[in-house]
Amino acid sequence: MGALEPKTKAAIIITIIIIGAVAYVAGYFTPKPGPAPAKSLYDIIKERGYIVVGTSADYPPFEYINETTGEIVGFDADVMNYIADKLGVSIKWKDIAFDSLIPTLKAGDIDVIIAAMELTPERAAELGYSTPYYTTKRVVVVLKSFAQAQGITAFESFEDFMSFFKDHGFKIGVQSGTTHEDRVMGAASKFGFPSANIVSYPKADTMFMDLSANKIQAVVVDEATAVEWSEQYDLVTVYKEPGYPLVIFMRKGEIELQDAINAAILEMLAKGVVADLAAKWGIPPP
Amino acid sequence: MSASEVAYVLYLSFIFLAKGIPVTLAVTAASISIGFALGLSMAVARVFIGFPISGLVEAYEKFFRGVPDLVIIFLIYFGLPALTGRPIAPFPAISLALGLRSAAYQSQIFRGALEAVTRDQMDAALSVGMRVHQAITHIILPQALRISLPGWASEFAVVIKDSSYAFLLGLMDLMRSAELLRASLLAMGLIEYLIIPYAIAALIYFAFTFPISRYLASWAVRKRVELGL
Amino acid sequence: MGGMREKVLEVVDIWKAYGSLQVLKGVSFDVRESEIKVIFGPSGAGKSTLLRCINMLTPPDRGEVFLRGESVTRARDVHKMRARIGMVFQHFNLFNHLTALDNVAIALRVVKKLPKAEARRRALEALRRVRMEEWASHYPAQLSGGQKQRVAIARAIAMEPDIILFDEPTSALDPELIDEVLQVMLDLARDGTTMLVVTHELDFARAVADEMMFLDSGVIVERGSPEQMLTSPKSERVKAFLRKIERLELRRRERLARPGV
Repeated sequence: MGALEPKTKAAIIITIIIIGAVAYVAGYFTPKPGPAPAKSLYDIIKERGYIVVGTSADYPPFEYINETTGEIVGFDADVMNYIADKLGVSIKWKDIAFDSLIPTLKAGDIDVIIAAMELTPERAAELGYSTPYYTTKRVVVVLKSFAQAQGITAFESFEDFMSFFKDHGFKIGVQSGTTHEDRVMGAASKFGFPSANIVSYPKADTMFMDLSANKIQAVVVDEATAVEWSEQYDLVTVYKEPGYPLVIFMRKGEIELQDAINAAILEMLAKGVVADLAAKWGIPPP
Repeated sequence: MSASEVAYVLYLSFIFLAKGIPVTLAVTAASISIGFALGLSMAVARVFIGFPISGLVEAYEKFFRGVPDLVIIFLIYFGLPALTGRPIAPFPAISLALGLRSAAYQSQIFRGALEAVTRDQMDAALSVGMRVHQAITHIILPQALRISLPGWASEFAVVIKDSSYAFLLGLMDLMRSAELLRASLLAMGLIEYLIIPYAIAALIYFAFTFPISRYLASWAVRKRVELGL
Repeated sequence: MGGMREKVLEVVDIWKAYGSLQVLKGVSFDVRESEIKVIFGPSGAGKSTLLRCINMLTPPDRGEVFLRGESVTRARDVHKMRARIGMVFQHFNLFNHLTALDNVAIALRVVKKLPKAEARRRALEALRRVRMEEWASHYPAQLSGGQKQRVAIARAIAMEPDIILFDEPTSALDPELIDEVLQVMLDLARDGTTMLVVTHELDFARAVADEMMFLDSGVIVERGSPEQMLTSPKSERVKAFLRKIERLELRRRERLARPGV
């Protein structure tokens, strides 16, 4: 029947696509086969010849995409290249949104994470990690004009900064999901700092735009980010404190891999490679 | 701000964003397929089986229409592993989440269409000796599917737009490639142009949804008028 | 009317109620090979219900139906029995998404499982019998009421049923279109088709019916040959009904004579 044939074909094709989609999704609900293989991840990586590294290439200068080559470049990229070299393997980069890195690591789709990710107590409890390869500093940054107008040069403590801002009713900007946000929120509750004056931004650029427009009066970020944005706006640091160390994360129990990576990192630090890279990428020395 | 800079940023935008299009299309295809299979089954069950299935289907519809898409996505991505003890990768997570959500809407669309195909059609099909499942397959469904085309076309556009949530789960879709480009622009110091990747992404989404809502829907309406459905 | 010919349809004591309303109260009759029986009566008397009980679209509460001696009401596979009973509906009920040809052919493919070419051939033949073969690739929306009903008849005869049930086949048609359908039905009658027709078209009954049955309030009040029923019915109710029909018929002829009214 002429009226049915092409439609029957279309129906069959659509049915196949649907079954394919459902089956693919369902594949993630079937039980994983048996107990873990006897080989360690390290052995697998060596055998394969490459390591799958997860990062979030939206964070210059640590990791971002070079617009001409399309490759992931940055401080972390160089660090990882050195380590992979030492391990004798190549790198397969996987760019993933920052918040999804850890779930993806747990799911086994990536071997390690390097993403300027800080070693917080929560992450340390869940994951394995390398020895630190860099330490960030947390800074409070304001417009130079603002600092001059208020007669501020530097705050003695984070608390001084918070109480000064509370007294003047100033607003603080933070990037949502960062440890800096936690720091500010935590201090705020101790102070009775009005939460309405803490503004969370999903993106750094809107935050700095608001800072330059004086919609907020200070931002709390890591030093590298402050340096990055200081190229665009006239900013000055009014407070600095040590932040969490940056480490490479992996799944718990991968001792061999951890040992190998640690050896490489320690060598980098000893030989001053990290200091050189920091200078290259314009971030403060470790 | 210079013309050559703008041109360069536009050029980069198309290169970067083009990489994200396949994933966006894949997520859309997977989600709408799941929504179609599940939604159509629920609608047929509701119309032809009735109690007690229709109660369940109604509850399902109410839930997935009443909860924000983002919440559903996070429920699946973070909640499901908590339940099953097994992590779920981003692509199946978002396809499943958007698929379940779309099923609720598609179920409504198909139910209305099935009910619009009158009882008389079923009577006629039975009277020539067809079994109920044959009547549904050959007589009721073809007409119902044609009737549901306009509504289905809008749902398709919704799913394309919702697929942008994929970037939150880390998939390299259109939105994510826009973010990466912005990072690169920042590294290059071109902060005045940070809005452009988002603007281009919006154009691309529009390019996908506009033909569908305009042409598919009006074609569907014309076909229906022709067939007197 | 032969006592010699085989009973194609046997309807035995059919009862049907909708809720508290008793629509059919013990209806019995039979139809033999090539016979044409007409059922007529006031609306709501249960005529449509009766036909729907016969092909089990609406199973009766009590009673039995036999097709050439095989039970329909207690059939193991009622669909097989339905395939042998054709039905033509008052509102045509054509499949809107299919061409006229496909409307006729689809049952041949899906139910009789004929190959595509064979189904097409038989469908075209059926359309030829109702003089609609030129409209084979048209859709129902493009056809007039009379044409649609003729396609519906073709759909029924293509299945080569043992009997065809007609549920007021011309009641939904504009007056000008009634005759083309009646003509087709007359042709079928002439070809020896076994038919059970619910209708008010008394001329048709007079021309071909072997027996007429008056159904009122769920019971067959009177039955007999067309001559008996139409010229000298015994029951008052039949007489009253016939008078009403004649008045309507008169008005219809007047309207046809005066176009544009």
